[in-house]
Amino acid sequence: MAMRFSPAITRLIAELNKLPGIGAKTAQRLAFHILAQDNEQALALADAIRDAKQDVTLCSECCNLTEDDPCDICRSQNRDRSVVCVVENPRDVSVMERVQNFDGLYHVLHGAISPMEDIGPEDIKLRELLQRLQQHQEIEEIILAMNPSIEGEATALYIARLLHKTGIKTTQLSHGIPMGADLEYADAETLSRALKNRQEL
Amino acid sequence: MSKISDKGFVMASFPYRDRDRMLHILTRDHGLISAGARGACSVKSKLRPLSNLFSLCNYEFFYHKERFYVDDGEVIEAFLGISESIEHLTAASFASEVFRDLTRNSPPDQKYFDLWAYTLYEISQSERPVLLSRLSTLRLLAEAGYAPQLERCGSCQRPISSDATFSFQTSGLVCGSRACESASGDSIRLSEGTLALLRHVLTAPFNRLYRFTVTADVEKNASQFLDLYLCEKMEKDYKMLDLLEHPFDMDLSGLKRNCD
Repeated sequence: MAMRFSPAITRLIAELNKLPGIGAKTAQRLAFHILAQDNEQALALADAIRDAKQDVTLCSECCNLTEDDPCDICRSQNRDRSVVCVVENPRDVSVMERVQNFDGLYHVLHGAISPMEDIGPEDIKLRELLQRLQQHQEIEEIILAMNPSIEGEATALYIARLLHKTGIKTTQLSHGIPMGADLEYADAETLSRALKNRQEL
Repeated sequence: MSKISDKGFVMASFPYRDRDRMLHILTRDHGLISAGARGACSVKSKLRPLSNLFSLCNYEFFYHKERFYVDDGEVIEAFLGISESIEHLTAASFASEVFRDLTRNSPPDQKYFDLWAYTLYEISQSERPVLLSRLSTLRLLAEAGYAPQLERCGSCQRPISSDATFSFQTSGLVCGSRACESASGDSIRLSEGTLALLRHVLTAPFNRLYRFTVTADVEKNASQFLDLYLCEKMEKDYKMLDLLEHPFDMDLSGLKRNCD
């Protein structure tokens, strides 16, 4: 028999249950954890969610999540403004920033073209990228850093074709064996790409 | 808990929980199954390449509490030609949706697996992937017992060899006689070339299915018919190909750089 909770608890569980990776049981556990906290802690969580929703917007340049528009990266004078790295998600920007030898700018597409999920070129921030390339003639190279999935590849090739013959250099992150992985566990596709993109030492 | 080995195509792949993926796999011996791939989103997961959309793999599943889980396997073919263009990706995704809808509640049958294998290969190689994906749905419907009658009039059974009208009400051709035409209901005119193409698709062995040449007019006429026929038989409006009807329109002339 389903357990019955008060309407407020049921609502809290239902809202938590909508979060990715949170099932019904986890939502219940989180709800009771929040209720067990003192008022200050629980309301700090609520305030953090409200503030983030109110203050975080999309950067008008790169479409990354930011509190200041343009974002820190787009405002920085120390970045190379001739190179733009195109990524699928805001999370990918922070991943790329961990690689401390990239000092160019970013553009976040907020997804990849995926007919299976009814996502077409108009549903990602591709128009914004092309407008940016028109407005900023100093951009000379686009690095396509999509996920190596079939949708990511198709999106990268689509963008590369749009930029063909524009004089903008279009490159893609190379694909290969991840550091720390054993060669014997690499799949044939990854190995063949790694071979194709091999480098002379 | 039991272990099962089978060949299969990834027909759809969705993120599930934080690092898992949920796969719809069309297997040779077990039909269409849903299978969890635990940790498949992780870069170093051995299940990651087995979870890529449209890959053909040798799988090892374990079956527990009426659920399949991918345990191990190896990729046979990744069909990378599918990612070559939006047309290829959309065509394969559309055909995959129809195959999934039709095989979801069907008993396992290797003919569906074989048809998908030939279809996916040809879509990945073809310059007309959308037409091939539409034609594959006709053959799939025919294999499932929903073949249209394209040899003779559906009302008077008179053989028809030239261009003719197809009636969706009778699911067959209608000859020119007034009595038959009046009973046809919703219909579409099919040219002689279109009829030849559709008859070929209904009867050719799978390995010869996509061996033909057609004019642009035949492609247009056949595509109109195939969309209507699919919608009629599946009682569903498939919208995936609409993505290609509205191309990304933007003046790109301002992108040109001065290359001096």
